[in-house]
Amino acid sequence: MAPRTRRTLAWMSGLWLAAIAGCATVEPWEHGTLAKPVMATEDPPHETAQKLRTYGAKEGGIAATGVGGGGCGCN
Amino acid sequence: MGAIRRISPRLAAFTAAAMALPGVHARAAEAPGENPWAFDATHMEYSESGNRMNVRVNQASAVIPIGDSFQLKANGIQDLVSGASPIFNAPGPGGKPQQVLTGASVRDNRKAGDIGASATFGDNQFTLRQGWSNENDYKSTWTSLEARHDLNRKNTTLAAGFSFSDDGVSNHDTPDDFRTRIRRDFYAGVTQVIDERSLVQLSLEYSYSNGFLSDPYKLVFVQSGGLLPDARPSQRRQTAASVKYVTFIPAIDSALHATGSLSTDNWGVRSGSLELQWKKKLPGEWLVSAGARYYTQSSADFYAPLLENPPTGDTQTSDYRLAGFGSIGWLAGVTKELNPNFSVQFAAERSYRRAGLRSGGTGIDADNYIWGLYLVTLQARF
Repeated sequence: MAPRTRRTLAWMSGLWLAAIAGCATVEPWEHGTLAKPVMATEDPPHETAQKLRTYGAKEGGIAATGVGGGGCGCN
Repeated sequence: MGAIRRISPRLAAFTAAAMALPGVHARAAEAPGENPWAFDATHMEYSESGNRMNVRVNQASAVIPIGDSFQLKANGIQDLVSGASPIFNAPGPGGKPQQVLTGASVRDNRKAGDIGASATFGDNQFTLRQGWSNENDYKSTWTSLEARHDLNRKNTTLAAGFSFSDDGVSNHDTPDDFRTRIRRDFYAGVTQVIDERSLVQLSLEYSYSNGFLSDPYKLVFVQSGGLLPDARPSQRRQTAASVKYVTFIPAIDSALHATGSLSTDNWGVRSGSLELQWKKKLPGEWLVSAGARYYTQSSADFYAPLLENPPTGDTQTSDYRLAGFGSIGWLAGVTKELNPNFSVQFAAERSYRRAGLRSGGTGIDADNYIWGLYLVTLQARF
């Protein structure tokens, strides 16, 4: 694993641990606000798929957005 | 039904809120039950400034529940592509590079589809998908496996995934000569509830590609004479990390979504992006969103807009997507729930690319352009 990758993983792990450390326990019946549609972490699947495909075809970097999908998008 | 009659209205409300969270990763808006029939149909229009590419996309998908724990999924996409695409840069007035385009000759019809199945066992969900994509000069077959696990009383969701893509690349001159391109993606993520109105999502992705990774239509202009084909290394290793923070702000009755992402690869392309979105529910079952996205990247090590002499190595590219550049864009969306079973969604995005916003390396103003898209989706849930 490249040093840059190791550093990235270390940063992400640290961020996650910091997030966990600062979290209060939220009981299931306290999830009402988190369940609001405006809080959904994912946009509708077609919108997400088309936007990620556009970014992938026009940009040189990648995003950590999950797996799946194929095809060129070469132009 | 008897059990529901016995509980208090307050507990019923709490239970309904909890039941709406099959996992903090999942979308919260899937109203009719936990495992509904779902049908989505989308039309998207994409266009670029300067009479370049236009793409029309039609997409339809279905999710069929089997019992409470299983789902079958099917998805189909058709892309109609037309317009002009940059081939290489040539010296213009004053020696400044200028794009040379294909003319309005590019025309392609891509058909893609995938089928999949999901199974939920307690706090675990597994999804297997198999997909295909086919166009004149590009064929792809891919498989993905994803897993999710809820823990910590559904305050934490772990996600992991793997996909394998076996592609074939040809060009219009040799349409039957497909060269192999293999890609493997590894993904891991965690979503953590921070408090009653905010959560954070951390994601990592590693991608390894090998085979023919060049673009068969791109060329590189050599000022001492001639054109060279686009030639890229036969291996690419990309790593990306992203953080998303979502919080509800009661004072404005709205949610704020902030997403930051970084990526790096062995070609020398380093990228970063920041996206901010505001989302608000309005009376009458309207949901509106507005936001902005900033993106920046450095150029690949083997990128040059023009070459004075043939390179000493065996890699070169002038592809505008491997140049250094940045972009700023805006995005907006409106969703209207027509009734509990049907909703219609409109989304738009417009992005302004500028070489001056690059985060390193070389970029040219001739590559600046604007792209925009809008899409309309009809959703049905039963």
